[in-house]
Amino acid sequence: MVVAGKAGDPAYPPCPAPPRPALPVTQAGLRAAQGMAKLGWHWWPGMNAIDAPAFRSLRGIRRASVDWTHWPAAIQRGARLITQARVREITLNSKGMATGAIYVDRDGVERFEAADVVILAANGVGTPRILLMSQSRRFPEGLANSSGLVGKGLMMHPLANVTGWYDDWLGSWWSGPAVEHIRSMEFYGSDTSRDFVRGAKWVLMLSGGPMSALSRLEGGNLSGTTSEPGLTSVGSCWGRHHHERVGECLGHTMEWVVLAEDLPDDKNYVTLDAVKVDSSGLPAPKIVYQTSTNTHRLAAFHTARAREAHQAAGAYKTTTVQGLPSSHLMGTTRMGLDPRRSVVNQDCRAHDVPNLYIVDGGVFVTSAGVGPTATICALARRCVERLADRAWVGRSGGE
Amino acid sequence: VESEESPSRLGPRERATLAALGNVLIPASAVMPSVSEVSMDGNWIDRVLATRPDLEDHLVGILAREVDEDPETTVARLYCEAPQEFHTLALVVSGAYYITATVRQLLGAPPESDRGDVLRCDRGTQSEDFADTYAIEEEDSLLDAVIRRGPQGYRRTSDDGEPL
Repeated sequence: MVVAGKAGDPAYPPCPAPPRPALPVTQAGLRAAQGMAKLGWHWWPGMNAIDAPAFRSLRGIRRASVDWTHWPAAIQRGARLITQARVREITLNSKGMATGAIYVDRDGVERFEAADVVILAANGVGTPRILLMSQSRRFPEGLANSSGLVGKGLMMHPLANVTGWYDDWLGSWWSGPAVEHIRSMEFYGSDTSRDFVRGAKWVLMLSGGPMSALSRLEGGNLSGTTSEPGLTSVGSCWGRHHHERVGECLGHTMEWVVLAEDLPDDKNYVTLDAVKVDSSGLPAPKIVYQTSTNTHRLAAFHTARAREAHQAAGAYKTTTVQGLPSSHLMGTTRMGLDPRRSVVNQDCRAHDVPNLYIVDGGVFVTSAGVGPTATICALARRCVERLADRAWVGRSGGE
Repeated sequence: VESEESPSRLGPRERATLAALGNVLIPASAVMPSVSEVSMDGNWIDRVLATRPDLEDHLVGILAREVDEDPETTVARLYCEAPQEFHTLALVVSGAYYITATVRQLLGAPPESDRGDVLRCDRGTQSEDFADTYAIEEEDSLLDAVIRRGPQGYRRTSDDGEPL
């Protein structure tokens, strides 16, 4: 996974430079940075999983994704990829070792894949769902669940967006993929003077193309089920004012995305729905989640500061959306040394099943206030390196 | 750009109705065309429905109704009384409008077939619309202030994970 970024950010511990140079901060990033400079707040060029030197064209956009960074090489080395399949159960033998997976293929046919080692990477909802479906006499509450913690402690990084509206042209909505132009860690850490703990990373992004612009305008949110009043009002994005309203937003807005650190709480969890099933007949995951008071307070503080940042950068108005869901699903198969208080050990190996591993966001103990992918990648790499080491030792006559 | 998507179930009558309703949502301006001027030629609507096949039944149902009223009244009624139907209509119409080559060109976007070299990572070759205003020196100057402040918020941890 190739990353482009700039070395030396004082908000991070000393570390090697990213393998690729940072993308340009762009007009929008520079404008936002000017505002941060006025306030004396931290900012730094964005870090993006993009193979920057090859980034010459938007055709075949090179945002890193494992379908081109890893799968082609793995398949070339003999891996077999089965898509549109749903695992129903991880099977066990009489010794309590995982023996493989029963899955339903794209045609609805149930099949079995044998394995010496099973590695789950279905993330914070999918992995506990599979474990909870894998009930047996040895694990009546779900596989690897002697602690009772499988599915518990779901964390989701509730997002808040603060959009700044500028008279000036901020940049072309077509001039690149959605990237982190700059970031800020100014309010990342806990501060005892505030009424909440932890903090958030801020990510500056352009507001996107015409459809994204519409979603920010009166009457233009097409994802809900209710309309706002005033189709014919001056503010409406439909009708005779359409082009005027879109023009105010398109290329003239950028947003600070506040990525709030979510804390683990057993009241937030994933379980199996007692009634609903998917199209393969498998129990649907049921998610019970409530944004905590701490997160509400955190978001209120951070969005207020982000509005100040936009104002310092020259925005003539700001709009704020809080409580946006994120796709970051973490904490439901937590890591730890104590089998009574965790599901996997420091190598991502299930305490209860020695040849079962989990390499996804579920193993996170806390969520941090940053995107989880880099940490998942690092943990996955450490997991398989240690797995390979043990296999090598085993073959060479060691343990 | 011609699409290879298969046509939707919309017939000529439904397309005519869609064009009329679409013109209410996105009429022409001094610069920009209306929906019927750009979206109804070719298969832009079909491309949208191929991407969102879940909308097709809903849209066909909306357009199939015989309603004795002018398009403005229909759109206003849907907006006030049937928001889900309004959302489907507005999403398909605006989605098709903003992917047309004509509208993209009017908004300044490069054609889909020639979008290369817009944003380069070689800082000596910034895109045209950025080169005039972008100043590496200013970025570096702003970053110098951040660096001078030193570590903010980051606390080193010991080997056992406790803050030092």
